Amino acid sequence: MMMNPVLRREIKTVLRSWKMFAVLTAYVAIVTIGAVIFIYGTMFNSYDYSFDPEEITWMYVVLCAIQMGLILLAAPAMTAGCISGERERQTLDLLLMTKMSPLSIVLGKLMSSMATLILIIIATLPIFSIVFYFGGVSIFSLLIMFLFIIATACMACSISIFFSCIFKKTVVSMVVVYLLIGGVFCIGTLIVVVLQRGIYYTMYQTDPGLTFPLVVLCSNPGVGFFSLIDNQLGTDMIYSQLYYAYKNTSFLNTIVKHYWVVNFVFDIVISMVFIFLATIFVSPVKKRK
Amino acid sequence: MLEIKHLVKKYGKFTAVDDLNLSIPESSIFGFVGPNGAGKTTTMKIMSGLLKATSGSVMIDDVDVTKNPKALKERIGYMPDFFGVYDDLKVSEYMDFYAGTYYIPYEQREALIDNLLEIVDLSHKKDSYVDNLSRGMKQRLCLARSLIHDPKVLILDEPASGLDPRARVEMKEVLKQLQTMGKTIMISSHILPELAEMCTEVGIIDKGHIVVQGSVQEIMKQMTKTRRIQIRPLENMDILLKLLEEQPFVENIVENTFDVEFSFQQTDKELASLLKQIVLADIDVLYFREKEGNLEEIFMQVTGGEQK
Repeated sequence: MMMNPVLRREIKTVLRSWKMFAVLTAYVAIVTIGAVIFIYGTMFNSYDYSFDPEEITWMYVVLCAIQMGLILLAAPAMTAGCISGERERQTLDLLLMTKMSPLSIVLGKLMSSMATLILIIIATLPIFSIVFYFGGVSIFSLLIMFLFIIATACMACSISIFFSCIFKKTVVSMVVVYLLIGGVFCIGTLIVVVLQRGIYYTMYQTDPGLTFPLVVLCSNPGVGFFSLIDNQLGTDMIYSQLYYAYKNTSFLNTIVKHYWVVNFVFDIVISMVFIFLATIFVSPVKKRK
Repeated sequence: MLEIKHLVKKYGKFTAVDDLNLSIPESSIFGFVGPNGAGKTTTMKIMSGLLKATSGSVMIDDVDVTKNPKALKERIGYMPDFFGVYDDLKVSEYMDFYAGTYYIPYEQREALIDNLLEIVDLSHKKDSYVDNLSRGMKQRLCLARSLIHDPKVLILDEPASGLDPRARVEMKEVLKQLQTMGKTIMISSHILPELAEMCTEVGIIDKGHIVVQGSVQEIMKQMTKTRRIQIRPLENMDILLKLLEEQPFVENIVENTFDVEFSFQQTDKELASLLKQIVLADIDVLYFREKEGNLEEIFMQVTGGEQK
């Protein structure tokens, strides 16, 4: 079977470049610094310098949160220029003239970005092994967490590719992706839910129910992430925030308990939608009238 | 072999290509000339599948490639008016990448790439980074790239632009070699003399439609309304000038340092008769010749003097 030529070329040039190694080193360094600061700041009691192994589960949370944040930052930076960069380099027309379909081109770009991000995630595994040294978190949990982060990265990359097809300049597509993911998905959805609940309660003096927040927050990677943490560690960061309405059914209760799955499915669906849209917009004949 | 029928491309109210008809014989080098904005690149992009025509067809071997993208990709090789190269790849890797985009099996690629690099005389640069190639070399590499899937028709958009005279000569040689290999080549330029030497046929496009088509000689004959004749007498310039002034069909006589130049609107028979008169007037003639038409002037005439 022939490897996607775009993926093959991207991997070759990315791994040849010193920038990749610089990014990898910086990424691992940031996660390591996070781990060291946590160990010294939290696990050692400031009075008697005793060590509390139970705190290690919180280190897992911190490391995963750093990982999630960095991936959300890195994914658009790596992908937002993939099509606009080809356009700037004046190679897009040549690529579109070949036998490769727009879908193959877009998937090649997506897979190369994802391969790089997965490499970065795998590179942090030795730091995560500190958590296993003390126990408290299973490897299965870590795998699920990595899968969730990869799905989020896939969503961010797909959106980035789409905007890269739409905008001629890489900088513009990057800014729009950050605004959409950071401003709308992460912060905007929270503001909308809080406002909706506040306005509804003021107007009708009754609880607005869970449907609206559950629909809106499914795009919020932060809510999904902390829901997964709740699920894995038995903590309560998201569940009680959502599940305070007394009339909720057992079905809604199940959804709230495993809300990260909703978020995960949203990421996959959004990825597919934006990849499809990207193939339409990258196609020259359909795009240019 | 390659036929464009009633091709129209409109952008809103603006018509970029207006009922364009062309017929290019197999294994010919066709020069597609026109001023900037005449519709050359638009036509070539439609032929390459990068733009959709408003109406009309592009037929290659009786297959309408505008309606059959697969046939189009197989039969047409396109080289745009810019390089479009990946600087971070080596020459062989660059070619290998494009071989991949045409799904050429891995085992066939090395021989194919070696062969193509030999045609464009870049074998010695196989392991060099594309970034380190000169402009002419990059242009030839792009040409090799457009040949990777062995297309029947090559569309080259201004391949000589920005090249130094040596690189132009090299490009010309490569194109002639490709012609002998049976490729039909269409080259665009906004400079007619640039194409005159290498093309078997030329089509001049202006405001979206073909104004004139044929061999350079045919076009010149067609477009040159008056003939310019040059005579160099050994001596007796005054007698010659007086004799010419007496002739009814001789106009615009210009006396140069060594010869005389004038316009003549009659047939070859009258021209021969004029020469006879000059000789009988005891004027020793060193040369008596028809001055070749100026391609630039013809181009300006055909395109309404809008060349920029």
